[in-house]
Amino acid sequence: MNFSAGELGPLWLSVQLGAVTTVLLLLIATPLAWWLATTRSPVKPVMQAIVALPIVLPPTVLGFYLLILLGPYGAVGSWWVQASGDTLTFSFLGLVIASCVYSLPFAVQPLAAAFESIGRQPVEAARTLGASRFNAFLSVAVPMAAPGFLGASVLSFAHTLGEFGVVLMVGGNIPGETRVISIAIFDHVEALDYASAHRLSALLLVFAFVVLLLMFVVNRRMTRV
Amino acid sequence: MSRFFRAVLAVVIVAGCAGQALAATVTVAVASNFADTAETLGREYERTTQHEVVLVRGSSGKLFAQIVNGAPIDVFLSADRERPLEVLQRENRDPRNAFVYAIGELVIWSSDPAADGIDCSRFLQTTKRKIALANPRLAPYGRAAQQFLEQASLWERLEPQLVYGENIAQALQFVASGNAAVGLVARSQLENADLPVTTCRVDVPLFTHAPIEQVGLVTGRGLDNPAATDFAAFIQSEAARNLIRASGYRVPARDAFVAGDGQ
Repeated sequence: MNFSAGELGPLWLSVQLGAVTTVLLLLIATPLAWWLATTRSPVKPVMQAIVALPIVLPPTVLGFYLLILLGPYGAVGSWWVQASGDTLTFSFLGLVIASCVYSLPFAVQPLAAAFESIGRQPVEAARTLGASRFNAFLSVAVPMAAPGFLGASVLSFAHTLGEFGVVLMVGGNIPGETRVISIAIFDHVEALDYASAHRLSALLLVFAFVVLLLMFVVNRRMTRV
Repeated sequence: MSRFFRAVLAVVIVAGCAGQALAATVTVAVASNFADTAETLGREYERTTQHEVVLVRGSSGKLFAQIVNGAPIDVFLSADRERPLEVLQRENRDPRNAFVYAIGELVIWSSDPAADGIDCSRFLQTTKRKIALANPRLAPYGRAAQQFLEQASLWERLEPQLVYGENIAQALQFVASGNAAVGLVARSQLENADLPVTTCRVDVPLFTHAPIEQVGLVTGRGLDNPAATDFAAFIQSEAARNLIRASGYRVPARDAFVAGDGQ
């Protein structure tokens, strides 16, 4: 199979979007997951429900709300228009925000599960030995939760790569900016260019399989150690 | 009972059953931009016949894929020419089985307060914000919009500002939600009462783009359904043409009509 630069552009954009989203999500999800795993607060179920919402809601609902929220009359969008002069919708940054919302549960849930299985004791033990709270978390909880971090990263990345409905709603299909691979495939199918659709679909299928396979192989090694 | 009376009885029974069978269902696959108009047409048709009309809405590309893959569709009202002709070619049928049922018109439209009191074609050229159109590769209205912008020598300058709706409905929605400053949309869409206030609007001159001919056909499967052929004939009737005109489309000239009618 030969791919032209124009065809690979959307895949590269999807990979960039997935990578940026994954990094941001790990930063957001780690403290959130730790809090969820250790808190005894009565609002915990409320937070759990909010975090899980993107799994249940159709991407069209998320896309619709994001279009309003990020648009020039929305709470976030109006502020952004004043600051930058343009809307957040139809931009790569807008897609990053949308993807962070869309993939949040896929980062939080593996991490929260990993932190829960560790429990509070190891971190508390480190603290009694004089480690600061942050230091204890970083040097004890994080290494112990390594499979959770791996799972969260791979799932966030893969889920963002497979994102379609949300991008369709807020993306505007701009080459190099918001035309990600799923949108490009959709375009080819709609334009009856089934040959290109087949090529990109097969490429995505193989890519997704390899990413997941790597995760399971690495995960197996980690849990054996 | 004589043989003759038995024969008469058989004819009566068969005819009675045939009368029952006449109340058929027509499944119509309709391009999203024409769906509301098709619904009105369908209701009118149901009122005047015993047949029932079931609408399947979608983009012409998706509907095409469903039809050639055997979906139970009797009539296809596409937004373009190419896909119905492709259906006919795949079914080894004469291209003359396709008919133009409506001709779309392109409008520059905005609800941006900044466009208030400004000539809309001027606003299109001066706004720094996004400009929405349907994807030229997928939607005939998008292709016409591109031809117009190229004709006006604006395409290259405005291209960085363009955002593409999957179809003309999404292009309108980008403008209506304020995410795009202005859009190139279909005149028929602006009949919708739920739209925000129009701040500027101007018709795109017809000579700047190839006509947006929306073509329909009775599918190979629909040929076995007398109601399908009948509904297709209704779509081209004077009553239907008036409804289509009232919905913001033009209708094609027809031999039966005086030249200039409907143009």
